[in-house]
Amino acid sequence: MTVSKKLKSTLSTLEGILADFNSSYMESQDESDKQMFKGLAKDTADILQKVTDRLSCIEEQESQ
Amino acid sequence: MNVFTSVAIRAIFAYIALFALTRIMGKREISQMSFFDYTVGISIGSITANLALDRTQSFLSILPALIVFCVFEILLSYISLKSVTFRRIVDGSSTILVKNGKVMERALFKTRMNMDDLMIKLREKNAFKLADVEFALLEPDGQVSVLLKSNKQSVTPSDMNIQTQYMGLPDMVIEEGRIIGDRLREKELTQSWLMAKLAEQGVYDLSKVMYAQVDTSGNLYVDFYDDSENKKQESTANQLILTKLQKLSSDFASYSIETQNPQVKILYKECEDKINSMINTFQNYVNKRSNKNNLYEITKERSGKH
Repeated sequence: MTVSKKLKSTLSTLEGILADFNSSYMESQDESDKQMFKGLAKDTADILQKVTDRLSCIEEQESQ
Repeated sequence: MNVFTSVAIRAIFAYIALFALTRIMGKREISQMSFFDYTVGISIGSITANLALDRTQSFLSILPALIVFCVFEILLSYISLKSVTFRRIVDGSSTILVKNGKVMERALFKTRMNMDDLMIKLREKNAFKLADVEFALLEPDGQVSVLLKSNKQSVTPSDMNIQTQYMGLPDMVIEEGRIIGDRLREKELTQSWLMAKLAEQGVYDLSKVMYAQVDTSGNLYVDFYDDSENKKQESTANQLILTKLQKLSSDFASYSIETQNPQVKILYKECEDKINSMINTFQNYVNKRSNKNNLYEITKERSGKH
Protein backbone atom coordinates (compact mmCIF):
# COMPACT_ATOMS: atom_id res chain seq x y z
CA MET A 1 0.00 0.00 0.00
CA THR A 2 1.35 3.41 -0.87
CA VAL A 3 1.73 6.09 1.76
CA SER A 4 -1.11 8.19 0.33
CA LYS A 5 -3.46 5.21 0.43
CA LYS A 6 -2.54 4.50 4.05
CA LEU A 7 -3.07 8.13 4.94
CA LYS A 8 -6.45 8.11 3.23
CA SER A 9 -7.64 5.20 5.33
CA THR A 10 -6.31 6.96 8.45
CA LEU A 11 -8.23 10.03 7.35
CA SER A 12 -11.52 8.15 7.06
CA THR A 13 -10.99 6.55 10.49
CA LEU A 14 -10.40 10.01 11.94
CA GLU A 15 -13.55 11.32 10.27
CA GLY A 16 -15.56 8.46 11.78
CA ILE A 17 -14.20 9.15 15.24
CA LEU A 18 -14.88 12.87 14.86
CA ALA A 19 -18.51 12.08 14.01
CA ASP A 20 -18.73 9.75 17.03
CA PHE A 21 -17.38 12.42 19.37
CA ASN A 22 -19.65 15.06 17.93
CA SER A 23 -22.75 12.93 18.37
CA SER A 24 -21.66 11.98 21.92
CA TYR A 25 -21.23 15.70 22.57
CA MET A 26 -24.78 16.34 21.42
CA GLU A 27 -26.23 13.43 23.39
CA SER A 28 -24.42 13.70 26.72
CA GLN A 29 -26.36 15.31 29.55
CA ASP A 30 -23.50 15.93 31.93
CA GLU A 31 -21.76 19.30 31.45
CA SER A 32 -18.23 18.00 32.20
CA ASP A 33 -18.76 15.08 29.78
CA LYS A 34 -19.92 17.58 27.18
CA GLN A 35 -16.74 19.62 27.62
CA MET A 36 -14.60 16.47 27.40
CA PHE A 37 -16.23 15.40 24.13
CA LYS A 38 -15.83 18.92 22.79
CA GLY A 39 -12.12 18.76 23.60
CA LEU A 40 -11.75 15.32 22.03
CA ALA A 41 -13.58 16.45 18.90
CA LYS A 42 -11.30 19.49 18.65
CA ASP A 43 -8.15 17.33 19.01
CA THR A 44 -9.45 14.94 16.38
CA ALA A 45 -10.19 17.84 14.03
CA ASP A 46 -6.63 19.15 14.56
CA ILE A 47 -5.08 15.81 13.67
CA LEU A 48 -7.47 15.48 10.75
CA GLN A 49 -6.26 18.84 9.45
CA LYS A 50 -2.60 17.83 9.81
CA VAL A 51 -3.11 14.57 7.97
CA THR A 52 -5.11 16.29 5.23
CA ASP A 53 -2.32 18.82 4.73
CA ARG A 54 0.29 16.09 4.66
CA LEU A 55 -1.76 14.07 2.17
CA SER A 56 -2.18 16.99 -0.24
CA CYS A 57 1.56 17.64 0.04
CA ILE A 58 2.34 14.01 -0.86
CA GLU A 59 -0.11 13.99 -3.73
CA GLU A 60 1.46 17.14 -5.14
CA GLN A 61 4.87 15.51 -5.06
CA GLU A 62 3.57 12.32 -6.65
CA SER A 63 1.93 14.19 -9.55
CA GLN A 64 5.21 15.89 -10.39
CA MET B 1 -81.59 -27.47 32.51
CA ASN B 2 -80.40 -26.35 35.90
CA VAL B 3 -80.27 -22.73 37.01
CA PHE B 4 -76.53 -22.31 36.68
CA THR B 5 -76.16 -23.42 33.11
CA SER B 6 -79.23 -21.54 31.92
CA VAL B 7 -78.07 -18.26 33.53
CA ALA B 8 -74.54 -18.82 32.25
CA ILE B 9 -75.78 -19.41 28.71
CA ARG B 10 -78.09 -16.38 28.88
CA ALA B 11 -75.21 -14.27 30.18
CA ILE B 12 -72.97 -15.36 27.33
CA PHE B 13 -75.60 -14.46 24.73
CA ALA B 14 -76.42 -11.17 26.48
CA TYR B 15 -72.72 -10.32 26.47
CA ILE B 16 -72.40 -11.07 22.75
CA ALA B 17 -75.58 -9.13 21.91
CA LEU B 18 -74.44 -6.11 23.93
CA PHE B 19 -71.00 -6.22 22.38
CA ALA B 20 -72.36 -6.36 18.83
CA LEU B 21 -74.89 -3.59 19.38
CA THR B 22 -72.49 -1.21 21.12
CA ARG B 23 -69.95 -1.71 18.35
CA ILE B 24 -72.61 -0.77 15.81
CA MET B 25 -73.55 2.31 17.84
CA GLY B 26 -69.97 3.48 17.64
CA LYS B 27 -67.79 5.88 19.54
CA ARG B 28 -70.03 8.93 19.37
CA GLU B 29 -71.99 7.94 22.43
CA ILE B 30 -69.15 8.26 24.89
CA SER B 31 -67.38 11.16 23.25
CA GLN B 32 -70.31 13.60 23.36
CA MET B 33 -72.58 12.25 25.99
CA SER B 34 -75.55 14.46 26.78
CA PHE B 35 -77.66 13.67 29.83
CA PHE B 36 -80.10 11.87 27.55
CA ASP B 37 -77.39 9.67 26.02
CA TYR B 38 -76.23 8.88 29.51
CA THR B 39 -79.64 7.65 30.64
CA VAL B 40 -80.08 5.68 27.42
CA GLY B 41 -76.76 4.00 28.15
CA ILE B 42 -77.90 3.07 31.64
CA SER B 43 -81.20 1.71 30.28
CA ILE B 44 -79.36 -0.43 27.73
CA GLY B 45 -77.21 -1.78 30.55
CA SER B 46 -80.14 -2.68 32.73
CA ILE B 47 -82.01 -4.32 29.83
CA THR B 48 -78.92 -6.45 29.19
CA ALA B 49 -78.80 -7.39 32.86
CA ASN B 50 -82.42 -8.50 32.65
CA LEU B 51 -81.58 -10.44 29.51
CA ALA B 52 -79.04 -12.42 31.46
CA LEU B 53 -80.86 -12.83 34.78
CA ASP B 54 -84.61 -12.70 34.34
CA ARG B 55 -85.48 -16.33 33.78
CA THR B 56 -89.22 -15.66 34.00
CA GLN B 57 -88.98 -14.06 30.55
CA SER B 58 -87.60 -15.86 27.54
CA PHE B 59 -84.38 -14.54 26.06
CA LEU B 60 -86.01 -13.62 22.77
CA SER B 61 -88.81 -11.65 24.44
CA ILE B 62 -86.35 -9.17 26.00
CA LEU B 63 -83.90 -8.94 23.10
CA PRO B 64 -86.22 -6.71 20.97
CA ALA B 65 -86.18 -4.03 23.71
CA LEU B 66 -82.41 -3.92 23.58
CA ILE B 67 -82.39 -3.73 19.79
CA VAL B 68 -85.03 -0.98 19.75
CA PHE B 69 -83.02 1.13 22.18
CA CYS B 70 -79.87 0.77 20.12
CA VAL B 71 -81.60 1.36 16.77
CA PHE B 72 -83.30 4.49 18.16
CA GLU B 73 -80.01 5.76 19.45
CA ILE B 74 -78.43 5.28 16.02
CA LEU B 75 -81.43 6.78 14.22
CA LEU B 76 -81.43 9.79 16.52
CA SER B 77 -77.79 10.52 15.88
CA TYR B 78 -78.36 10.22 12.10
CA ILE B 79 -81.33 12.59 12.14
CA SER B 80 -79.47 15.10 14.29
CA LEU B 81 -76.65 14.84 11.77
CA LYS B 82 -79.03 16.03 9.03
CA SER B 83 -81.25 18.52 10.81
CA VAL B 84 -80.00 21.46 12.86
CA THR B 85 -83.28 22.11 14.68
CA PHE B 86 -83.54 18.46 15.63
CA ARG B 87 -79.99 18.60 16.90
CA ARG B 88 -80.86 21.58 19.12
CA ILE B 89 -83.80 19.67 20.58
CA VAL B 90 -81.95 16.40 21.17
CA ASP B 91 -78.50 17.55 22.18
CA GLY B 92 -79.32 21.02 23.46
CA SER B 93 -76.97 23.90 22.85
CA SER B 94 -74.22 25.41 24.91
CA THR B 95 -75.09 28.10 27.45
CA ILE B 96 -72.94 31.14 28.06
CA LEU B 97 -72.18 31.36 31.79
CA VAL B 98 -69.54 34.08 31.75
CA LYS B 99 -69.56 36.75 29.08
CA ASN B 100 -66.84 39.40 28.77
CA GLY B 101 -65.76 38.58 32.30
CA LYS B 102 -69.24 39.00 33.80
CA VAL B 103 -71.15 36.11 35.30
CA MET B 104 -74.56 35.61 33.65
CA GLU B 105 -76.74 35.04 36.71
CA ARG B 106 -79.87 34.26 34.69
CA ALA B 107 -78.01 31.58 32.70
CA LEU B 108 -76.70 30.09 35.93
CA PHE B 109 -80.22 30.01 37.32
CA LYS B 110 -81.56 28.39 34.15
CA THR B 111 -78.97 25.65 34.22
CA ARG B 112 -79.47 25.31 38.00
CA MET B 113 -75.79 25.82 38.68
CA ASN B 114 -74.71 27.80 41.71
CA MET B 115 -71.64 29.98 41.98
CA ASP B 116 -69.64 27.22 43.69
CA ASP B 117 -70.35 24.78 40.84
CA LEU B 118 -69.19 27.39 38.36
CA MET B 119 -65.98 28.09 40.27
CA ILE B 120 -65.22 24.38 40.58
CA LYS B 121 -65.65 23.95 36.83
CA LEU B 122 -63.50 27.01 36.13
CA ARG B 123 -60.76 25.79 38.44
CA GLU B 124 -60.77 22.43 36.68
CA LYS B 125 -59.81 24.41 33.59
CA ASN B 126 -57.01 26.19 35.50
CA ALA B 127 -58.92 29.45 35.71
CA PHE B 128 -58.64 30.28 39.40
CA LYS B 129 -59.43 33.96 39.08
CA LEU B 130 -62.78 34.97 37.75
CA ALA B 131 -61.14 38.19 36.55
CA ASP B 132 -59.05 36.19 34.05
CA VAL B 133 -62.05 34.63 32.34
CA GLU B 134 -63.36 36.19 29.16
CA PHE B 135 -65.93 33.53 28.29
CA ALA B 136 -67.19 30.38 29.93
CA LEU B 137 -69.70 28.09 28.27
CA LEU B 138 -71.60 25.14 29.63
CA GLU B 139 -71.50 22.52 26.89
CA PRO B 140 -74.36 20.02 26.37
CA ASP B 141 -72.11 17.21 27.66
CA GLY B 142 -71.73 19.00 31.03
CA GLN B 143 -68.21 20.28 30.44
CA VAL B 144 -67.39 23.95 30.90
CA SER B 145 -65.21 25.49 28.19
CA VAL B 146 -63.17 28.48 29.24
CA LEU B 147 -61.66 31.22 27.11
CA LEU B 148 -59.14 33.27 29.07
CA LYS B 149 -58.65 36.97 28.47
CA SER B 150 -56.12 37.45 25.72
CA ASN B 151 -53.47 38.86 28.08
CA LYS B 152 -53.84 35.87 30.39
CA GLN B 153 -53.36 33.22 27.73
CA SER B 154 -50.07 31.38 27.61
CA VAL B 155 -47.53 32.55 25.09
CA THR B 156 -47.25 30.49 21.92
CA PRO B 157 -44.27 30.40 19.52
CA SER B 158 -46.26 32.43 17.01
CA ASP B 159 -46.80 35.19 19.61
CA MET B 160 -43.03 35.42 19.92
CA ASN B 161 -42.53 35.25 16.16
CA ILE B 162 -40.53 32.05 16.61
CA GLN B 163 -40.27 29.81 13.57
CA THR B 164 -41.12 26.24 14.39
CA GLN B 165 -40.45 23.11 12.41
CA TYR B 166 -43.29 21.00 11.14
CA MET B 167 -43.96 18.21 13.57
CA GLY B 168 -46.38 15.47 12.60
CA LEU B 169 -47.47 12.38 14.41
CA PRO B 170 -44.56 10.11 15.34
CA ASP B 171 -45.11 6.58 14.09
CA MET B 172 -44.37 3.22 15.63
CA VAL B 173 -42.24 1.20 13.21
CA ILE B 174 -41.14 -1.73 15.38
CA GLU B 175 -43.38 -3.42 17.90
CA GLU B 176 -42.25 -6.41 19.94
CA GLY B 177 -39.36 -7.11 17.62
CA ARG B 178 -41.43 -7.02 14.44
CA ILE B 179 -41.15 -4.37 11.76
CA ILE B 180 -44.50 -2.85 10.89
CA GLY B 181 -44.23 -2.70 7.11
CA ASP B 182 -47.40 -0.71 6.50
CA ARG B 183 -46.23 2.18 8.67
CA LEU B 184 -42.87 2.24 6.94
CA ARG B 185 -44.55 2.38 3.55
CA GLU B 186 -46.87 5.16 4.70
CA LYS B 187 -43.82 7.17 5.70
CA GLU B 188 -42.12 6.24 2.43
CA LEU B 189 -39.26 4.60 4.27
CA THR B 190 -37.61 1.28 3.50
CA GLN B 191 -36.58 -1.62 5.69
CA SER B 192 -32.96 -1.09 4.73
CA TRP B 193 -33.21 2.51 5.93
CA LEU B 194 -34.54 1.26 9.26
CA MET B 195 -31.82 -1.35 9.62
CA ALA B 196 -29.16 1.26 8.81
CA LYS B 197 -30.69 3.60 11.39
CA LEU B 198 -30.65 0.79 13.98
CA ALA B 199 -27.07 -0.13 13.14
CA GLU B 200 -26.14 3.52 13.76
CA GLN B 201 -27.28 2.97 17.33
CA GLY B 202 -25.43 -0.33 17.54
CA VAL B 203 -28.49 -2.54 17.18
CA TYR B 204 -28.20 -5.57 14.92
CA ASP B 205 -30.70 -7.87 16.54
CA LEU B 206 -34.34 -6.95 15.95
CA SER B 207 -35.60 -9.35 18.60
CA LYS B 208 -34.05 -7.19 21.33
CA VAL B 209 -36.13 -4.19 20.31
CA MET B 210 -39.41 -3.75 22.12
CA TYR B 211 -40.53 -0.56 20.46
CA ALA B 212 -39.18 1.89 17.94
CA GLN B 213 -40.76 5.15 16.97
CA VAL B 214 -39.80 7.45 14.13
CA ASP B 215 -40.68 11.13 14.11
CA THR B 216 -41.29 13.38 11.13
CA SER B 217 -37.69 14.56 10.98
CA GLY B 218 -36.48 10.96 10.72
CA ASN B 219 -35.15 10.48 14.26
CA LEU B 220 -35.49 6.98 15.61
CA TYR B 221 -36.21 6.27 19.25
CA VAL B 222 -35.52 2.69 20.35
CA ASP B 223 -36.67 0.95 23.50
CA PHE B 224 -35.20 -2.45 24.42
CA TYR B 225 -36.70 -5.40 26.24
CA ASP B 226 -33.68 -5.45 28.49
CA ASP B 227 -33.22 -1.94 29.81
CA SER B 228 -29.56 -2.57 30.55
CA GLU B 229 -29.23 -3.05 26.77
CA ASN B 230 -28.86 0.71 26.33
CA LYS B 231 -25.88 0.70 28.65
CA LYS B 232 -24.40 -2.35 26.91
CA GLN B 233 -24.78 -0.71 23.51
CA GLU B 234 -23.06 2.36 24.85
CA SER B 235 -20.13 0.45 26.32
CA THR B 236 -19.57 -1.56 23.12
CA ALA B 237 -19.69 1.65 21.10
CA ASN B 238 -17.13 3.23 23.45
CA GLN B 239 -14.93 0.15 23.23
CA LEU B 240 -15.05 0.44 19.45
CA ILE B 241 -13.89 4.06 19.58
CA LEU B 242 -11.05 3.09 21.93
CA THR B 243 -9.83 0.37 19.55
CA LYS B 244 -9.96 2.79 16.64
CA LEU B 245 -7.93 5.32 18.60
CA GLN B 246 -5.35 2.68 19.55
CA LYS B 247 -5.08 1.63 15.91
CA LEU B 248 -4.53 5.27 14.92
CA SER B 249 -1.83 5.66 17.54
CA SER B 250 0.11 2.66 16.26
CA ASP B 251 -0.40 3.81 12.67
CA PHE B 252 1.14 7.19 13.42
CA ALA B 253 3.99 5.50 15.25
CA SER B 254 4.80 3.36 12.20
CA TYR B 255 4.47 6.39 9.85
CA SER B 256 7.00 8.31 11.90
CA ILE B 257 9.42 5.41 11.72
CA GLU B 258 8.91 4.88 8.00
CA THR B 259 9.33 8.47 6.86
CA GLN B 260 12.79 9.87 6.01
CA ASN B 261 11.84 13.50 6.29
CA PRO B 262 12.69 14.71 9.85
CA GLN B 263 10.03 17.42 9.75
CA VAL B 264 7.33 14.93 8.83
CA LYS B 265 8.65 12.58 11.51
CA ILE B 266 7.95 15.29 14.10
CA LEU B 267 4.50 15.87 12.64
CA TYR B 268 3.58 12.19 12.96
CA LYS B 269 5.06 12.03 16.44
CA GLU B 270 2.89 14.97 17.45
CA CYS B 271 -0.17 13.23 16.10
CA GLU B 272 0.73 10.04 17.96
CA ASP B 273 1.18 11.91 21.25
CA LYS B 274 -2.09 13.72 20.82
CA ILE B 275 -3.93 10.47 20.09
CA ASN B 276 -2.35 8.89 23.17
CA SER B 277 -3.52 11.68 25.41
CA MET B 278 -6.98 11.38 23.85
CA ILE B 279 -6.94 7.65 24.63
CA ASN B 280 -6.14 8.49 28.26
CA THR B 281 -8.99 10.98 28.55
CA PHE B 282 -11.45 8.69 26.88
CA GLN B 283 -10.34 5.65 28.90
CA ASN B 284 -10.96 7.62 32.09
CA TYR B 285 -14.40 8.54 30.88
CA VAL B 286 -15.22 4.92 29.99
CA ASN B 287 -14.01 3.70 33.39
CA LYS B 288 -16.07 6.34 35.14
CA ARG B 289 -19.17 5.32 33.19
CA SER B 290 -18.74 1.60 33.81
CA ASN B 291 -18.18 2.20 37.55
CA LYS B 292 -21.36 4.21 37.63
CA ASN B 293 -23.27 1.46 35.84
CA ASN B 294 -21.88 -1.24 38.11
CA LEU B 295 -22.86 0.80 41.13
CA TYR B 296 -26.33 1.16 39.69
CA GLU B 297 -26.56 -2.60 39.09
CA ILE B 298 -25.41 -3.35 42.64
CA THR B 299 -27.91 -0.97 44.25
CA LYS B 300 -30.63 -2.42 42.05
CA GLU B 301 -29.73 -5.95 43.14
CA ARG B 302 -29.71 -4.91 46.81
CA SER B 303 -33.05 -3.18 46.62
CA GLY B 304 -34.38 -6.24 44.82
CA LYS B 305 -33.36 -8.49 47.71
CA HIS B 306 -35.22 -6.45 50.32
